[in-house]
Amino acid sequence: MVYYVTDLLLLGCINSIMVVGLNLQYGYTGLLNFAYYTYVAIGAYVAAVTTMGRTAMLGGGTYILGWTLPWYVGLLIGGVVAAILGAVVFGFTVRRLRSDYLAIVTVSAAFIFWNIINTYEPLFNGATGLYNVPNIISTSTARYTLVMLALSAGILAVCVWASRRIFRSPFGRLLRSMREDEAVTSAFGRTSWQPQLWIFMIGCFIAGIAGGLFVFSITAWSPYAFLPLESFILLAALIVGGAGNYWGALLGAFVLIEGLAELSRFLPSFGGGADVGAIRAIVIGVVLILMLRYRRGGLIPERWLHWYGQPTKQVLPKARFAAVRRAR
Amino acid sequence: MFVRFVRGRRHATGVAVGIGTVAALVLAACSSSKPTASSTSSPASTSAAAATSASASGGVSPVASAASAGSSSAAASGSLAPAPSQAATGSAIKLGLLAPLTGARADLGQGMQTGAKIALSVINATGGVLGHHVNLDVQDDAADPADAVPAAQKEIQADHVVGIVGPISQTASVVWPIAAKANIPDLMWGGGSAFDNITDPHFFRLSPSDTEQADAMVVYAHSKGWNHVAIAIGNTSGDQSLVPGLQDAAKALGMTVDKPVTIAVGATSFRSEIQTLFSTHPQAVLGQFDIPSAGVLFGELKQQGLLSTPWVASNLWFAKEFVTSVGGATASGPIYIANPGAENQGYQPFLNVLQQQTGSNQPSNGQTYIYDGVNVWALGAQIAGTTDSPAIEQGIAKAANGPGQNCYDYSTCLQLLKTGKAINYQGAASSVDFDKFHNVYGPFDILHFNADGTSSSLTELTPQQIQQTLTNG
Amino acid sequence: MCGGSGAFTKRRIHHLLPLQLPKDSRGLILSQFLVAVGFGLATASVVALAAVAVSLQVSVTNFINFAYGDFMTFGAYIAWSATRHGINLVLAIILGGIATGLLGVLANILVFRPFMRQGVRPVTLLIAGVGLSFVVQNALTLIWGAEPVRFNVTLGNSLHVGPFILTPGDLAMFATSVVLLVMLHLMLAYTKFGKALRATSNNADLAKACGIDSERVVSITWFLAGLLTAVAGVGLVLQESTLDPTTGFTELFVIFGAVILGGIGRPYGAMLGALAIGLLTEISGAYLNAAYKTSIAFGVVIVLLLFRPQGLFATKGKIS
Repeated sequence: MVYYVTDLLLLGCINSIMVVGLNLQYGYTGLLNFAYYTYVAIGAYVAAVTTMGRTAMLGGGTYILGWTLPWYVGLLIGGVVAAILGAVVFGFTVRRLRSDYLAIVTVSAAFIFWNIINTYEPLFNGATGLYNVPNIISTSTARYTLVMLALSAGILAVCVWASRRIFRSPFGRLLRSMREDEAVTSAFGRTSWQPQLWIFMIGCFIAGIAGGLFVFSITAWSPYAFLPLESFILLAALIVGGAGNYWGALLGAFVLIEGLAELSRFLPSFGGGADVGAIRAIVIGVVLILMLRYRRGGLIPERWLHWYGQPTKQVLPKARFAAVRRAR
Repeated sequence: MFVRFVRGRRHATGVAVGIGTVAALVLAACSSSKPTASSTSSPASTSAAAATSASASGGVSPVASAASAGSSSAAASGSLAPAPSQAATGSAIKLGLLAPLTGARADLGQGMQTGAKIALSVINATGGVLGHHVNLDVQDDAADPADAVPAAQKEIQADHVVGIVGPISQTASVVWPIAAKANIPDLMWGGGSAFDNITDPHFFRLSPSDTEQADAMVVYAHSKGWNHVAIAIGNTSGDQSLVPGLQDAAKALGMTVDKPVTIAVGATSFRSEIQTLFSTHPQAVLGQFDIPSAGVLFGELKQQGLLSTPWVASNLWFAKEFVTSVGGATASGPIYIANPGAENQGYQPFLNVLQQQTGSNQPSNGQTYIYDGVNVWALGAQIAGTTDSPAIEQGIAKAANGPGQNCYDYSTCLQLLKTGKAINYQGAASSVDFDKFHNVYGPFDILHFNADGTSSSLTELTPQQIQQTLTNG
Repeated sequence: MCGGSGAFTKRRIHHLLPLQLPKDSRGLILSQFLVAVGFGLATASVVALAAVAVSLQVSVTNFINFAYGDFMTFGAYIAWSATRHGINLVLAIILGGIATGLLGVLANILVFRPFMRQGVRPVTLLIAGVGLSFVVQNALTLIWGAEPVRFNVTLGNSLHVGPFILTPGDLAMFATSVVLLVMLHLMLAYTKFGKALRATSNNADLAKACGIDSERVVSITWFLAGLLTAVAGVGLVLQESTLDPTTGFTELFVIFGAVILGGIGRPYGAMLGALAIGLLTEISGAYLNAAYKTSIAFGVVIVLLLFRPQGLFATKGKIS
């Protein structure tokens, strides 16, 4: 039973890392990135192909690279590649579009990316995916889970620390002001897209690292592991937990993703087992809508200092509809 | 509220310390409970006697059974099963099923679950396994490796299953090592070539590898003199894994094989694919893609008068849906299906059980394989006298391969065992004969549909024949 | 599984030239092109209905509802259930349309209108739409299961219609599309409600000032949109031959492509956009690996939103 719990904690930590990264993009800066899980997948794939060499899958399967770098190098490269890809995507899209149209573009991009990876086998072995990804240290299964848990928890702590630093820094204030009203920010002479680019890249880097941790934990990755739906679930977790607040991110990850998914395994399976999964998804949808409606800050709303210096409960202020293109 | 707890730099340190403490506690708990952990995989070992009361020994703790009785489908299978002829006494044991009930392959999960349930209903009605009632613990892996790991861990660590049936290829590569380390058998289903050469004794595969399927298809084409073939392959992993086998076998026999043409799932027309396939005027087309797409493609072939070119397909098309999708007239054309298992004499008894339990006589995709898996596991346990490894794996191999008398359904096999005879279980999906890598590799039937949807077997290719052709050709 | 013995669905039949025609390469290419056009028309007729529905709704409410694909699936399932109970296909489609219209109105009352009254950012409505999509799609799974089902309908053999090869089903769908769209145009242009709708979409506040009850307009628009979406859903299922809870959602981005091509919030533009995207995907599918065909639709969406968000056919005036 203990191993099951440590397994759950490990997955919870990895999901938390992802949601913390998404929080940087959406919670702090208001950039809606519906393709977040794609960056996780890139981090996973790159970490895998830079560390598994050519022989791990016993010669069956085609994929690029196939190096045998140490795991930490592979992990970092995965994060960096994800960040670079994020920068490219950002440069093309985020600068130009209002949030909801950006959402459509990013979802479309996620679908395209998934389609290419699934169909074009020489890239990452197509629909079958990669398996037998090497462990980071060779030890018994039980200890390995604990090792990964310690590593993930450590990285999570670093990410949370970074989030906190960013939040309290002038950089963070700038991001929040841009989130609220971009026109005013530009009027004050702050170029808007550079800080956004930085935060976007940091968020994607974190996603890539999470992906690498994921692939080293479960030793396999395939297109089925990153269906475009997953990004929605991360976003739902963030919103329900509390966007703009890393505690909210943690809560959302553990409660919505881990808790809901894993606790439902203990429910009696009535009818077909598929019903449990469907009910779970319905619960997520309903909770999301209710949270948006009645407590838009989430379970743990962000608190930020009004520029007069007084704390305020107000979270995300109302804004009227704007044109598709951002105001410049 | 939370923000007030810690301030300044101590905050992040606090988080790290907190997590570190948790990790340390867990580590401490783990190392002290390690002996228990390894024994959870050894269920209540019993003697061959029907009645036993040794429920508390080993890892089958009554508490766990009671707590997770709700999580199994015991109630459901109870309602399906007829009144037991011999009551199973002793504590219940759990057999795990990992299936994609949701997610990308949700079309398979329900069928797999039903297949396991109906098999268990027969098993429990005839006294259970070694006197224990068997509960089915179904967990959803969503065909996603990330979900399969916690699902498998729950079955093993929390529910203490004595064996796992399933999953499918997409997730089996992460599940069977977990099962092996927990020292229980895993009987998966799927064709991925990743599983061709696994030497771990816990691993079993209930369907032939795509490599073997491909070999059979190519050898048959070669035997009919079709030495220039085209390949039409769907874009799911189950389809893609057939290609290397096809190409290698064709190369070994000196056949000309065109570059594979992708038949994308959900596409609404295949004009260009047909043009590419037939541009070189192949003598036959080898293929596997989903049945709805087959309906479209064959309709288009009919329009172009290209239905005279023979097709050699995998057993994916050995389903009633294929006949309804392409139409009886087309299905009875030159379409040849390589299906594992000679004559599938276990198929009719399976249909009887299916009809009796569910009222339907149309099996879903995969149902027969899981049904066979559960049966062969139960028979293996009866032969071995235990559900522990390594005896159970040896028992499974004996039940499936013999040597012994052929039997085609669980009750008959059990009767034979009780009279002291050796058996050779012939299943519904295949003859269930495991090769040295615990892959099912029996003979392949070459089937042909009749216009009314029934099928007839044209010829049979034994493994020896296939291997011989490949090495000589 | 649905589909008794003896009944089978036939898809659109696509026809390369019969072998006895002269192998004039230019004629070959032209004929293939025209056949692709014909097929594009058939796709477009389904997409157009859904795209017009989306455009109508966006024009009065100014946000995109992610749950539309699932509305389509819902309509298709209702119609399918009706046919299973022996109801005539046309009646079943009407039933499905009404049911989906009501679903749209319900969604508006329960989910979207409270948000809009609050005056939230468009992104919040989008995410609410995503939540709604979760709910609807999985409710469908709960009720009808995840396994694919099939309509018990024969679409007939293909006919030659000029240079095109289409089945009677295609023609029926095309005709239905045209009729519905013409009716819609008449409604928009000549009825009081149509004028109210156009006024609201142009400038909601001004319309209110003129005494138009914009919330009622919105409600009725949702109903209409739901109706059209259901017909499109059934058309889609008849083309694809199978129906499962995810059918509509996967079409969603093709529909978005049509909407954006035509200009977001412009129903007339959406009709043209559907035509364009139908032709585009089919013609490109003739020359590229078909597995990438859906990616092309998505690519169109991306390129358009980035470089010409007002759509291909935009004139001066309101962008969204």
